[in-house]
Amino acid sequence: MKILIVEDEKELVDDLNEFLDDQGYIIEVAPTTSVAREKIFVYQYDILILDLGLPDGSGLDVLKYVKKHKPQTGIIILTARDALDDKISGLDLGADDYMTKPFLLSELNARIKSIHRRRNFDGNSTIIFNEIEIDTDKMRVSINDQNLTLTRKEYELILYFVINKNKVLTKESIIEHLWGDHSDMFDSLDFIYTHIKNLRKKMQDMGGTDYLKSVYGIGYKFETD
Amino acid sequence: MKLLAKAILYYLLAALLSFGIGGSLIYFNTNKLIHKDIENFLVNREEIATTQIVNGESISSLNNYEQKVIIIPPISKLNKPIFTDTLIYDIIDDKYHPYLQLSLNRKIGKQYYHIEISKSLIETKLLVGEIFTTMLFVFIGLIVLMIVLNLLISRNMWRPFKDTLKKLKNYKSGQSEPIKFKKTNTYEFSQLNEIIEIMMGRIRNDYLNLKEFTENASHEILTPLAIIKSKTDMLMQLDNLNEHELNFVKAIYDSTVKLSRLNQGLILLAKIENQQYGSEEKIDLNQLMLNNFKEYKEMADLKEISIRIDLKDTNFIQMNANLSQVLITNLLRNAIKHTKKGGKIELSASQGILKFLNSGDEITNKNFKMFERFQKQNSESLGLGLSIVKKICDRYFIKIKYQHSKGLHEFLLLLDTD
Repeated sequence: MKILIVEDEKELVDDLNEFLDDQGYIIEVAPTTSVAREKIFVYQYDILILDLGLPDGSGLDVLKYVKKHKPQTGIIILTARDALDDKISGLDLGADDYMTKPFLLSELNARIKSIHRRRNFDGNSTIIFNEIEIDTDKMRVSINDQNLTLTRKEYELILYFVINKNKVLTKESIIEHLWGDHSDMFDSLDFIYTHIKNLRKKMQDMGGTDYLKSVYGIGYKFETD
Repeated sequence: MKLLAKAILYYLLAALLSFGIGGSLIYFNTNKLIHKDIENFLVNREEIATTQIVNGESISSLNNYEQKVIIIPPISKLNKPIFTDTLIYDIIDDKYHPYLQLSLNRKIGKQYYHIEISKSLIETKLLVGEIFTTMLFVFIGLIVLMIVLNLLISRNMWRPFKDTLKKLKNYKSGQSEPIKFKKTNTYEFSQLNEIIEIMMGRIRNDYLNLKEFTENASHEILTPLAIIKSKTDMLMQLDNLNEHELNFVKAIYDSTVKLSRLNQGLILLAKIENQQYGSEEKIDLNQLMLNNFKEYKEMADLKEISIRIDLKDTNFIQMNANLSQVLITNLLRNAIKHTKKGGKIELSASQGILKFLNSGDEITNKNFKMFERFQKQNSESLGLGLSIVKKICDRYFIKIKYQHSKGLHEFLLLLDTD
């Protein structure tokens, strides 16, 4: 899968590059709107990660350009600007998703995967990892071909883990992914443990391996090795 | 008091004073003049009478209604004419009339005479009265004319001022177009307009600078924050970190999350203060409450909070959609956040009133100003949520009240229903 990152902040580009490269994507970078336009014109990208505040103009212009010339490209807007104002215009113009800085790489990863699944109608809507099979169309998970009865949150949780396997996911990031940005409403984030525990039990009941590891009380990791 | 009313009042006072003084001056002077004239007339008559006596006319023929000549015994002292005001009974009118009387003792030939000549003052009185009434009419007429003229002129003359005032009243600092006033040839008003235009230009510039600053601040701070966050995220993924090290990274990570929230909150506050949320629409607050509640229900369930909703009357308000969302969610979040596990929340709406109730202990700190920024009960909280709520309420003239009774925190939104 080919991704174009349109972002001028070098440090951030490096992080994105490293992280996404790790995930097995092919990454290209455009630091300005003009470079972005050139690249979009010449090459074919599956997903565009687009910063709105660029040195030579607004990313919204690039967004319009993509929508006109390469409508099949998935777009994630990535911006430091105030969500309330630009979110609407960004989504109105046809962006698939919107993330406000600072964001988490694991969250970005989840959203890239989600867009990719949604865009590839012909392609594979199932994610298979060892004995686990996730059908993202039907939102169904099976282990060793046995169906798992999961709550909506548990489904989202396992999907988030499998997509970000071998990454430490903090409790905040898990809450943010599952419930939105509400982690500040809880005195303690330990309620996450209940969900993890339930999920782990359901998976083990079907003979699945216990991949979920707690990481020093700061979060969890879907460990595959 | 209106400027015009004030001006007219002062005019009236001045007119009253000058007319009072002028009127009494004219009254006394006329009186004096007429008196003098009558005195001269009496002296004249007396001279004629004396001449008649000298010419040997009989005394009886000289006596009449207004003139009395009698022979008196010789006296040593002859006096000058004496004028006295007197009342003489008039048979015809059956009343006393004022008269001016000249009395004199005179020696003509060898005889001594006492001469009294009177002249009725009634005409004089009438004349003065007439003059006075005329003056009064003129005075009243002038005042009425003055007021009417003043009203008419000022209505015209103050028109540019009123126009300026109206435009200023309707001006919002978020407005994209600068104010343009109508041209006026009144020096003072054109000066005023000019100064206001310059001033507004400066304010507009400041506003645009501030707006640019908040936008820049948000962008410039959040990008490095994003870098810190992604770096800490990557640090966390390193396999060889021990728990101690990982906790350091976690602390950096937590602070980054907090900092970005803080930044967003402050930018939101600044934007509300700068009135950067211009567009307004009719918002159904009850519906908004319900929609948001669904989203937060899960949060509440996780904390085992029981929720009762009682929305009776619909409440509409004209406001910015984003801000209405922020207002309601902040109050909901506040309620859920400060309710202990197993507590309860009650949301209700009646005509013009929205209530957010949640169980919790009374705030013991008397100096706790919950609607001011960075006022917080615990260090985890940012202390911005309720100050944002207050700002939004102020912006749309919604009254917000807080009270604590029967173990319930109570937030009331009172809408301006007219």
